[in-house]
Amino acid sequence: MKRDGLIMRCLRQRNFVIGLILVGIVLAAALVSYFWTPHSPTRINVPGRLAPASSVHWFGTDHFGRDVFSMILVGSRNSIGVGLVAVTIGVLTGVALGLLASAKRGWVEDLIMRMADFTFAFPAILSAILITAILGPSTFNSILAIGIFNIPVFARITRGAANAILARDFILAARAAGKGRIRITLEHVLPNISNVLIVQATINFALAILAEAGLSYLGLGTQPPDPSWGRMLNESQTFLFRAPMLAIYPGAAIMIAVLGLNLLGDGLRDALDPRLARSR
Amino acid sequence: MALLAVDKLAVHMPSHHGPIPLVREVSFSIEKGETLGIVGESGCGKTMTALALMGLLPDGAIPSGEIRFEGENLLAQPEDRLCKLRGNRLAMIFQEPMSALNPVHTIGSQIAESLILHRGLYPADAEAEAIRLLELVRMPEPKARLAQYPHQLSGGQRQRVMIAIALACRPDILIADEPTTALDVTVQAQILDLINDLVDELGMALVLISHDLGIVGDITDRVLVMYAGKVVEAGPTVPLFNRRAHPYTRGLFGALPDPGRARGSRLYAIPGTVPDPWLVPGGCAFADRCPLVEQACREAVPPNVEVGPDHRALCRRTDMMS
Repeated sequence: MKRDGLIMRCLRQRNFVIGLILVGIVLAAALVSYFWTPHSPTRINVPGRLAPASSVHWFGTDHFGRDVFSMILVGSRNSIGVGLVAVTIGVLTGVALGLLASAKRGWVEDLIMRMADFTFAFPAILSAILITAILGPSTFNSILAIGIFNIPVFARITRGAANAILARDFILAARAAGKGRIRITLEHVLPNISNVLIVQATINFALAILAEAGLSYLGLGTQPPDPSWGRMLNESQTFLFRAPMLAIYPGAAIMIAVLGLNLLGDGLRDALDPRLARSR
Repeated sequence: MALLAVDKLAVHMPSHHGPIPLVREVSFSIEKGETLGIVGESGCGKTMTALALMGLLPDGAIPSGEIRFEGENLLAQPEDRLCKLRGNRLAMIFQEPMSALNPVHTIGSQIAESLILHRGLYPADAEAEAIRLLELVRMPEPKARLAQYPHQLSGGQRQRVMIAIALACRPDILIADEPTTALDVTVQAQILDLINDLVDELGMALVLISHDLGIVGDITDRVLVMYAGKVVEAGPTVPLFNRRAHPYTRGLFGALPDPGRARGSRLYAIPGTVPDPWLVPGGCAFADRCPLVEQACREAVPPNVEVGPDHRALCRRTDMMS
């Protein structure tokens, strides 16, 4: 197994390639939206409301006459931004807690893991609703809420993977060379569990996008006039029979992002852990 | 004052049967430049003894007694003091070179780590020193090795790297736990020669743990024979190998193949199995497997009999063994 073959190994995974393309589309949409959108996503044009798809409005217009295509483009920023920040919060805090638990053992480990269990006991979306309901609906609070429910996921997976690494011979050898717990954790444990964490982060990114859409749909996430896929879904439901495409566009956008990230995560896992791939 | 003096070392592992003794009343001392072999079959407490010396016992294991390194009782030292000693004054190499190196770091960085940690070298100097250490352990093309990962090296080469890491800070004591067990016979001989030469060259003390009497006989000055957590015979290598005062030592030698042996004749195997540590009998632990057993052996702990100069055996029937 050569290390420089990693990219090639990834590209040989069909899941990875499809995932990469789908995620690439979403990222490209977000990027393009910073420079160009067919119309302003917030410009209201009531006489032209609920227009069908045309060469002027590619995806038609919503009940305020706003251009749906532009809203989808700009909405991708919101989904990616919230997902990225929330997962980063989850990874940074969760990995730190998980490493602390596996390095310290004893009551520290028990405390951290029981806290993780406690957080897990509530359905993630429910606790996110709880947090945003207390702190008030806003993009920032939805990031916080989603980030918090990501923490125990990463704390658990880190601690589990780290404990498996800590039982390996090279850890004993590192201790015999006089390295302390913190040093061993950072230099030996973390690099060895990074592949597990990357895969989990990719999959949780998808869950975070889904959660953000859920919160926005309930009106607890991103507030108007900033476009968000979840709120577009919410607003479209009143017109579900008159203009069904209004629900389908944001729904498809969410599906592409979530499916893409999940496939990407699956492909990465197969590429990073050849043993798992072969057993399938 | 001895460089390392171990006095009545015991290691217990708690369990729901109560604490299980894994190592019992092990005492020995070792001077600078001296080599000590510890032999015994699997599960006799050799590795536990070595880990206790390094302060690396598994979680939960409770050591007692004293391990004095230059007069300082290691068992009473806090972890950060031990971290300063480990890899610096006391070094250890392990049985399994295939898994004792971290797969995600290069050889160079793994050797340099110790140099930066204990000797405070700058990374550039550490690299030069790492090359010198690889030369010391006779690694071919040392410079090219620095950028390689463990999986690119053979077992023998990895063990050389482990030795280089162990020697990085010129330790006073090198503990080698079955350093050649996982290697081919020809590579075994090379690694043993290397360890032997380095011990002479650097004036370290060596504690060599092995189940292989041939290896121990070749390089050590003194030998401890361990059985069921206890030292059953201890003495200078040559007299011990000639006298074999304890029936267990005899049994170990009987289990060695001898080229002059008649074809088809069976090797001697000590009857029975090692007692489980929580079931060690009250008297002599070897009583159930011993050909010379008598009633007294089962009833009382055997005396530690002096059978020669500086040579003792834990057996009441040594008179039968001459």
